[in-house]
Amino acid sequence: MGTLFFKELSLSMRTARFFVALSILTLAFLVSGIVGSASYHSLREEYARRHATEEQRLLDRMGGLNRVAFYHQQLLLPPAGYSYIRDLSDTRIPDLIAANVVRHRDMTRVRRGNSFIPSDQPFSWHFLLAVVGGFVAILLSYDAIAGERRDGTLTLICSNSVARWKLITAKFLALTAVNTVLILLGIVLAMTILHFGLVPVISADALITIAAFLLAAVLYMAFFSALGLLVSAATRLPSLALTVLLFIWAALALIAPSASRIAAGASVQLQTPAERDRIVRQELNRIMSEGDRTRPEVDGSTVVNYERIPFSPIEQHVANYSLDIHEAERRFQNEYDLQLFRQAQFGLALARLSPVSMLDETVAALTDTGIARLRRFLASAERYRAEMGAAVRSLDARDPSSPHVYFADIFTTIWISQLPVDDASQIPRYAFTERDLAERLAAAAGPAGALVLITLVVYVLAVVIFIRVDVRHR
Amino acid sequence: MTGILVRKTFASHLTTLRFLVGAAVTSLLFVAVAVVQLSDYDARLQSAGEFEARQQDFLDGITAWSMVRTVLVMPPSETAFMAKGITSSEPNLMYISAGRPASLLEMQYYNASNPLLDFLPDADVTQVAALLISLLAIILTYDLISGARERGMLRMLMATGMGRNSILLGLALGSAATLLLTVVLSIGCVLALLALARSVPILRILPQLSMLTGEILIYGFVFIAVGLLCSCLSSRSNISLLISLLIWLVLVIVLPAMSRQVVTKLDPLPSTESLEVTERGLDQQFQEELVSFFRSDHPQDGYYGWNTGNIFDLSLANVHYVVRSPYDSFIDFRRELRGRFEPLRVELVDRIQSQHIEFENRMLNQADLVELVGSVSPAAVLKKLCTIAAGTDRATLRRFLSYGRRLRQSYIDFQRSKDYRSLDWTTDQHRNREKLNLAGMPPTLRQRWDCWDALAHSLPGAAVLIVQLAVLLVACAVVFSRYDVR
Repeated sequence: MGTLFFKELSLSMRTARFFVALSILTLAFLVSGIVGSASYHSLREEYARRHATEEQRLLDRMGGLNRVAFYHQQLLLPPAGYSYIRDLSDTRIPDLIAANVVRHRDMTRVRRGNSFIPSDQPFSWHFLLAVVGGFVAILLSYDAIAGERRDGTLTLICSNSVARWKLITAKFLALTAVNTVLILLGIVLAMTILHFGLVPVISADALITIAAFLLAAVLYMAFFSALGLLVSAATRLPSLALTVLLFIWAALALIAPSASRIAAGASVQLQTPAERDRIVRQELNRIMSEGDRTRPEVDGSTVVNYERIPFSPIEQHVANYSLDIHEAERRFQNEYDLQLFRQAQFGLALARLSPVSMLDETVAALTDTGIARLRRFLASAERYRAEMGAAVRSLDARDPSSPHVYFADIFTTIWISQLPVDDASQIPRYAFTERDLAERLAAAAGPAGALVLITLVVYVLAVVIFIRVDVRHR
Repeated sequence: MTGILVRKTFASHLTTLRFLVGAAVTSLLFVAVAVVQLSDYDARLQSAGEFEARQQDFLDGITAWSMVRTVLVMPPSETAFMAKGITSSEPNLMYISAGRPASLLEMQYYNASNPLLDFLPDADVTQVAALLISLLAIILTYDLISGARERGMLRMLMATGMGRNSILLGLALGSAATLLLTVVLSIGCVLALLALARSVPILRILPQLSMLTGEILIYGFVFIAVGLLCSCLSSRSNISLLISLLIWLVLVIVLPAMSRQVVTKLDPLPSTESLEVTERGLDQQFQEELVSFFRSDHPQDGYYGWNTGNIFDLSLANVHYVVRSPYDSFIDFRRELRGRFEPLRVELVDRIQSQHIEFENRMLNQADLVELVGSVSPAAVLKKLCTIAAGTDRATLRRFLSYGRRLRQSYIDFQRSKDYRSLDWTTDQHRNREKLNLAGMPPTLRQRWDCWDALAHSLPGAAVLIVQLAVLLVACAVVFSRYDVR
């Protein structure tokens, strides 16, 4: 078994294919290193700039508590630390929530870059691995068995009283070793470039993350090697094996996510904007008519004068149920966000059938760039709003002339204290907590396990088919 | 003789499993991505329709000519399934009013469909074609020369007395016919899907579809030439396959991703920060004008801290100043401001807008450069051509922007035609319920796709592809003329 393994290894290292694969991966990781370090810095700079602008805007409003409280602050999702491993900057995935103490708006997206250039796949390691890695693994394995059969060497080896499962295992392990060497070389090259591009890749956190990525990469390529052996054992011609493999790869990479999108869209229904509008309006009308019903009787004009403080009984009454209105709005908003998440998560769960999506999930968990990050973003924005509300309320309580009414209308921002905020640190600032390494590794373990499982299944199938195959040279 | 070879090549391709697998997977993927994009289009269409209805309601409900403002949304493209183009990450909404610049930088983004589904990568027909049609072309052709030599067929072919060039031509044309069949089959599947889905009328988009088909075909032919060239470069079919796959990877995956990165690195856009600084300066100037007006005319400053969010009835929205108002009531304050500061405000916004337009032009230059660098790769050229065919190229965005600017100008003209300065602002004269006159504006943004225009825009890209094809074919002929057929 050991001899077989080393024979296979040294054989495959000397083929033209190996050098082609080597040059492909070297080129790809070289490019990814350059692109990755550039985008790493530009993403961070842009975030820092926006963050500073937002801080300045908040400081500018410290002249009045009401102006701080009802200003729609832009809460920004910071770029993930490992953007060179997995990059989502070119998608429509939201990274901005505008919120004040009583309401928040739809999640949206910071616009960046040049809108005249259609967005494209980012050249991150994950993209390279999913596309080029799978491609290379197929390229190295497609004629492992079909080629030997064509050349007639398979008959010779099998007559050598070597168990067939040992033969195919040796081939599989040799391929995996070659894949590991190739991807390791690529990663080291990219890391060197990133290091000189002043991206921190030498910290313990980064090294462990990269090592885990390497492991995921080897697993992913092992799947395609096993698939290559399977198809190679099942077909007579190497060229046919290659064609079949390349198209299976394309189907796994493209059809699985598309099909899951369709299925998710069809099975988890979203409210349309009009429906949403109607439901929200209905509820608000209910609250308001409830308010009208209990409205106090006042003589004379019913015109509300928002400038008069203290309020008339009517105004006081409107103010009293204003919080109900905001509460209802927020409830609908949260419900809609949940629907969005449910739909996307349903699609992601379906897509897990494809190993390409399994890899995607593993790397997303490892770099914390998946849907979980977005969920935490939404939850932390909600928490922040509560914190901010508490801080504003405690400051507001100190102003005896304030009516203490939280109603975010353009004319009614004077319904709480207008005193300046003396100490800017009294107002809490939004901060997103990144996941630490242990959490990320734990999250990645699940999908990585699924990848191991499916690789084993394909490998066992390959062994079974190879044992039953007719090795005679024709 | 060549005709026979063409027919023979075609027939032998059709019976190979690689053709069958390739054609089946390509058709399947075309349909799959088209389904995704069409459902996305339906969602976008619905949202855009709702926005348009709201806009119409808004305009119909205008009770005062001084209140004209609207929201303009980019209509979704019914042919976005062919190529998503700018719709993949666009800003798609613009507020139009006198007090707001109509420009790309001011445009916003609304979620027409669930943005979180972008965690699942989606493709369009162009992307699938760029990936698979080229792959199929290479897989069909890589062993036409070297494989035939290995089997000894090449010598037999030479023995028939055919010239080398005609052999090459025959093989190329036979493969081209196979590819044509695959493309037509795949597009046919998409047509069948469209007929079933019914959300897009087939007849209307037939010109776009046929343009797309033609572009994909030329692109496929380029890769047939690549495959043939690689086949001539080596005496063994395995080696020619490897070379051609390497070239495929560089041309289809590496180079298109590179061109954008290289250009944005070498020719970066200036930060919008400088624009923001200028804007703040202009705003400051405006605010000072306001303050000095109150100081000179009304020395008895009352202290009213107004967040003047919407003070201007002339829709000069987004003015957030705290002005010390000497007026007894907010209403009087607004009346006074309206007449005096409208021209100043509009001029200010005009200046900001022209700055933004400059920035847009800068972006356009960068986009041009990306395209120029990308034209090394046939895949990048194909993507550009297909966005033109699908009406999702940047010309669409430009058209939208210029429409928005014209609309804003017409609002301003309309308001100014009312001669607001001579109005008595203490009355409600401006609430005269007059209908907005938008003569000269197209009633809707939805324009018919202009076939000739699209063809004219596609010419440079198509020319690049054809030149690439010609160069590759000539190279093939040169290399093959020295090929050792033994």
